Amino acid sequence: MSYAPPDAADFIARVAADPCCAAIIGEESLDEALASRAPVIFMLRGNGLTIGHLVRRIHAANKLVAVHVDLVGGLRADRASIDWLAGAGVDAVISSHGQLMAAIRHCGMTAIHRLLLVRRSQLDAAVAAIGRSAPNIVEILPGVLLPSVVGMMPRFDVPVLAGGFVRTEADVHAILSAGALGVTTSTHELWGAAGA
Amino acid sequence: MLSRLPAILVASDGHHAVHAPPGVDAGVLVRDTDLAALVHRANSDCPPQAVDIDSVAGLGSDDYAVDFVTGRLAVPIILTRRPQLAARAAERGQIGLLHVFAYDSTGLHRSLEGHPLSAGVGSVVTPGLVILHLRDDELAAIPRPILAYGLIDSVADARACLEVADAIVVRPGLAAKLAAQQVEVDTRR
Repeated sequence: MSYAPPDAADFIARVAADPCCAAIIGEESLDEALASRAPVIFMLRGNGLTIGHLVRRIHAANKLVAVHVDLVGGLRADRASIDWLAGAGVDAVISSHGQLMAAIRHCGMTAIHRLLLVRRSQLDAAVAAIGRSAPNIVEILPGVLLPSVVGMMPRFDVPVLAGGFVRTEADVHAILSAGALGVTTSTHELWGAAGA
Repeated sequence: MLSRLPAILVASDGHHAVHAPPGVDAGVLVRDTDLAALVHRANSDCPPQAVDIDSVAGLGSDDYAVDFVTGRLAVPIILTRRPQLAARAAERGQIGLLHVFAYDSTGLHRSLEGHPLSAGVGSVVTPGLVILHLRDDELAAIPRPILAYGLIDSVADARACLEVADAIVVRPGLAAKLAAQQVEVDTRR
């Protein structure tokens, strides 16, 4: 029987219960991530073509897996690669390409649109792009700036994750206090911190 | 003589006259404009000290473009995403600043891998406000001079960023506030 990922509401509930998600760039960090309380493992690098065995290990640890389709190796960020990741059992896909959000949702995965904070004059266009793409979640980078810029941004209709330079518990608390659903961080000590 | 980087660059779209406020070490950065507007502004009474060359519609991304902007238009500071253009500006005795994208630690390291690390080529850290959150070793790895560009939106943030970076980019309104505060400080002295 093929794997069915949780729907977006379930994915969001898992993060809400344990807001510090593990961001990893290679298999060397996977064991520690699997042993942590982090509910979701975000794979930001690695080989997208041979990802299936890692996905199975993550699921066996009762965790969910999100893959950044723009950054993993071996894949082009397009509809065919979204189908490939769905076939591998991935639960959520992250991309800066808004046009992929519909394809990700169509495959039953949670669609995460990454928004890069560049400068204020470009925020409106970025926010408008997110309005058009209708993701399930918005991920903001660098997340550590979210408390500083939250006043510049309109409220999104979907939950916000924050990633990038999130290194301390104080960073996490400030970000969650600014309204984020959770954080993605490569700082091992934070994986699973601030949980319910 | 080598060019120097003012502490404050005031962002301008080139279509409107923007003057650096008196009383502070400031110049004008033109970005998100087009070639005709850039030429017009370079020949006006408020010529830019810096140009984000990749954001000028109609201008190529090659040595001819750098030579034109630094030579004919006499703009001494070039911001670019292309290492070879930053190096070209430096070869001409001007300042080339390469965009270094600091959205997360992994991205920062990857961005620095493409830096030419040659004399006269510094860095534009984007978004600039994040410079307050970089570790000492990360800061040390970024070639200077460092221009912090993006999301610096308050006097407090601007002052904090200037403690870390060599220069910052701000909007005209914030530049005016910084200048007014500096005049106040100078008057008290």
